[in-house]
Amino acid sequence: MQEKQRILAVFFAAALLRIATSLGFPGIHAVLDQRVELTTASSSFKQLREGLYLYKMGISPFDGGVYHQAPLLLLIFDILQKYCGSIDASSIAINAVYCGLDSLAAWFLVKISQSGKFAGKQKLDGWIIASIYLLNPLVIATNLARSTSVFSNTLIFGAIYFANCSIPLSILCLAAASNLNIYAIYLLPPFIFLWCPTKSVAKCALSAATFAVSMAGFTSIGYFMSDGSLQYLRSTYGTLLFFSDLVPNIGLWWYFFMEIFDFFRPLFTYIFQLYSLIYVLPLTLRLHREPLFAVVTIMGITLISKSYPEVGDLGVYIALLSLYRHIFTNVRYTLLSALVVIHALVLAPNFYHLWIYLGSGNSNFFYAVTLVYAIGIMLILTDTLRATLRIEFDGGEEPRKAVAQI
Amino acid sequence: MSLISRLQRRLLGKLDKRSLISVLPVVSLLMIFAGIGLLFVLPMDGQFRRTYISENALLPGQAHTYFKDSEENILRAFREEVRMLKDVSESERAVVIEKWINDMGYKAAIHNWTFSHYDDDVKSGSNVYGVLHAPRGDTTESMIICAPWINGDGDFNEGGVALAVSLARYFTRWSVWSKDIILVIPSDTSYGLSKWVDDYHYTSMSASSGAIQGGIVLDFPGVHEHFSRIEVKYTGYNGQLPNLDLINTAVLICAHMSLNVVVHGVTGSDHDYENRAMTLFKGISDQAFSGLYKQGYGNEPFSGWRVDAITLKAVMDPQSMPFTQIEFAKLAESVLRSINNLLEHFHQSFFFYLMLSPWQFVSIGTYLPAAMLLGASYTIKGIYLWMTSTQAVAGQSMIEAASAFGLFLVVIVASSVFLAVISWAPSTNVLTVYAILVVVSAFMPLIVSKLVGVKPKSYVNKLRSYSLIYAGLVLTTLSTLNFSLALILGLAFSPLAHLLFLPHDQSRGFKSSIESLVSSLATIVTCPWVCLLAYFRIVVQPPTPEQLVFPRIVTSISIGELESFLIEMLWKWRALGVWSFVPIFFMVWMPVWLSACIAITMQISEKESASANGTAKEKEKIEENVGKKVEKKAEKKAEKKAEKKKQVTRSSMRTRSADKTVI
Repeated sequence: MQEKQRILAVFFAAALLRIATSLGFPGIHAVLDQRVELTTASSSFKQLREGLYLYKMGISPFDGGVYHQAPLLLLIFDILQKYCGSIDASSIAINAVYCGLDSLAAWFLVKISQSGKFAGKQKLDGWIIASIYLLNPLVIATNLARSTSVFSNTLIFGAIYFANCSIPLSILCLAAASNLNIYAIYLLPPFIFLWCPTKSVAKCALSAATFAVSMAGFTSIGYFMSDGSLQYLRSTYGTLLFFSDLVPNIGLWWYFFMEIFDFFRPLFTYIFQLYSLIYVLPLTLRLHREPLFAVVTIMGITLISKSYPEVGDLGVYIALLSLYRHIFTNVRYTLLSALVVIHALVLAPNFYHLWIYLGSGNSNFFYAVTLVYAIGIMLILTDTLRATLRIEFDGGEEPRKAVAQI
Repeated sequence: MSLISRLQRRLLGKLDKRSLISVLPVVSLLMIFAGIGLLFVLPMDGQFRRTYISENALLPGQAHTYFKDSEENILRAFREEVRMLKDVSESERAVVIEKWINDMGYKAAIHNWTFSHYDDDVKSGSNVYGVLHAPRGDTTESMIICAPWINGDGDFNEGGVALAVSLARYFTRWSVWSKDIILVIPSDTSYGLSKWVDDYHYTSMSASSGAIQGGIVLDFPGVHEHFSRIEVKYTGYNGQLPNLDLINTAVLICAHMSLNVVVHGVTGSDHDYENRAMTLFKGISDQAFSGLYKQGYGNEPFSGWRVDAITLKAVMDPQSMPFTQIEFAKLAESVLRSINNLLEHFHQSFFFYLMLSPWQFVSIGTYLPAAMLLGASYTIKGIYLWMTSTQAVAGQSMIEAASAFGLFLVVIVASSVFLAVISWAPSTNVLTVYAILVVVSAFMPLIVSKLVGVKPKSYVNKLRSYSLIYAGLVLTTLSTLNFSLALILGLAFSPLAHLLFLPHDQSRGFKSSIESLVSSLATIVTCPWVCLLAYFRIVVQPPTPEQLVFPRIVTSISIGELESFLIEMLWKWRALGVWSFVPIFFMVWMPVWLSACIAITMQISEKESASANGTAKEKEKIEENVGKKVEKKAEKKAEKKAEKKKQVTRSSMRTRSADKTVI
């Protein structure tokens, strides 16, 4: 089979899998949407529909504690509803949109790999990269949960892809992604290096300014949607920043904020946010020769440090890592980190079940698993980072001596 | 990372990494023994704790019980009435009971239930229940008093039903209740009661109340008015246990009333190690096999709904029956009074424990390592197999890893197809479907390994590594849900991890034939079908002494009983959601066993894996080269051997000559 046919086959299989599951088991969307590992306040489809309903009824969705997602999403789904009628999770329109988004993301990924400009010279075949993203159970589950993070993920892939050919489009993509998922803003510094490889100050400033303007443009949508009230800032970005919707998720925040006294909240909110931010600049500067890897690593860090993480982000991170084939021959703890993460992913629903449904466990069980998950991600992060620096030190992609892998 | 590598360096020092890796299988084997050994340590003095009431609100045995002899006449009258209902149909019984409890002031209703698999395969019956709204409550909380018509042993629960009804009548006269009392008389202890509990939580029933805080099931079978001792049954489906406080309450009240109380049927003193160990192992087996095919005792259907329930079973030992039914009623009253005292749902105390006697237990922190050790031993063996199989060039081992993983996925998918087929099979054809699956699963390894073709040893090791890591993952997860099942499964697979030898070159004749014998024995012993049949033969239909001879032990199996055993197992899975057996059997045991079988039937190329990236021609060339090299090596070896032989003969001749000279 030709390379192209293989890629097409993977795309077709992935689309078929998603649509067949959706049509065969229409109840699966609601079930997955309720899993705290898969969707959060910042991405739940159920909450989006509630917000949309309120919006339709002429009530501001940003009043009250129902809707915490970007106004842009509300606009997109409003238009979708106008033209397609039903936006049921298993309706044709939603199926087409979500399937299309995932395929688009995979297509971006394959193109990024094929261009060979940002990632390493050693490449995995396109169909393998496509299947690492499209057939990853985490990505499939996120898609079937109709998590709205699919939008921002696709936009991030798009931003990387367009950085190669059309910088304005890339800036627009990143601004839209940051609008949907505020943590994508952290990717701005490495993206500036992607946009201006020459690192001329004027150009960098120009692209940053363009980003700021388009970001402001996207954000102001909410202002017009809620008839000139700024309340929406508080209930969308404010929730993400101050963690006001206190619900368990796979991240490290919820347990802490559940336990501490209220008067400590502001202090620890700032500390936690600062923690997720603090790596951005050092990593960008250290990896300025490989800005895309800085993007990947920052995404990996926000995977555990952001306020509302979900396991779908891990699927995105793994897909981005698959662009760097040479790293896999240089990392040390492949099996170890994979086992830690897999154990955490299997134990998390189990412990959540023990805690919430059976009542025989308690929140400490689930929290322990989120810690294990974070340790697994950190293993992957530090391992890939070490491998990259080692490669940079050695000056070549082939390891000098065989790396003993566990 | 640097921290880890520094730690690694510090720990390993100058030790050779290879030698460390080669220790892993031994570590893994030792972990299995340590896991089993730990179970024998648990009943030792100092390892367990005495039970205690953790929730102060319970105040067990503090309330004075007023169910006195004056009630006995009413109880006797009810017994008389219930006895007359023995041969009446279930719906008629329900109508009678409904009228009784309606007259008492309960809001009573009949709950007709059906479970159907196909149109002609239906289980149905009528439960009857009634709700007494609490004088001091607000209908948000309730407690259950339940007495099934037929108890877990299949006896008519005359005493239980009469006791429940007369207690219900007696309770209406009290103003102390702050939780609604729900009296349930279900058709049986499993299906009828299960459906009632499900419907209570899922649907709106004609008589309803709030969240059920706890419950007791009364089991007082037969016409006797006396009993020998109380047995507390607490194990739920899928390894669920009620809060330990509830059991403690019942046990403590028994002690207050000087009733003999036992758990798991062990009557001996708790000062003996043997008795404690016996209780422990019976508890483990009860937990692991709860809901396999038996009817259960009535407390099981409440598990999984956050309802803590126990069964109080009156055991009739004809030798001495010192206690009367009044005392049983007082016990029930007192336990309900304690539950009534609760301010919040059972949450103190323990949900994960193993009993050693009614007064002694071990908590999760002490016993969990046993199952964890077993689970981790598979992971470690899997890591070992993985590490020994990735010595080749990294890129190509990645492709090999992916392809072996694909094969393992095929095995998993095949097993889930088995599960789907058996779940959909109509009950009349269950035996045939099982037979087909047995044949398919027996030939599948042979066919798959033929299709996959000749593969290097590292490929096969990767397949085994995946299956063992899978087993380890499932066992560690399972050990938090159902410790005992995880433990027993962990033991059942263990030969597959340690007694499986891959076939290698024929030169080492004797050793390899022993090894292949051991491997095939291991796969037969761990075969899920064989184990299922063995369980049936040993536990469900124990052989008589004459049947203990080899061919007769198999031929004397009653097919009808086997069929009903298998059907019952499937019903429990489909209707009651008991996932401990059918899904675990097909989704855990089957893939692990199948991949082990594929591994030993696969043809293994002796050469190091040829470059998987290269074209076929290159491969052939390399193979040729390797072949030549092997040949050359063999020649050289032969030469060396010949030389050695010569030397040996020379030296022996020398010694002989020396001998001669000595002589």
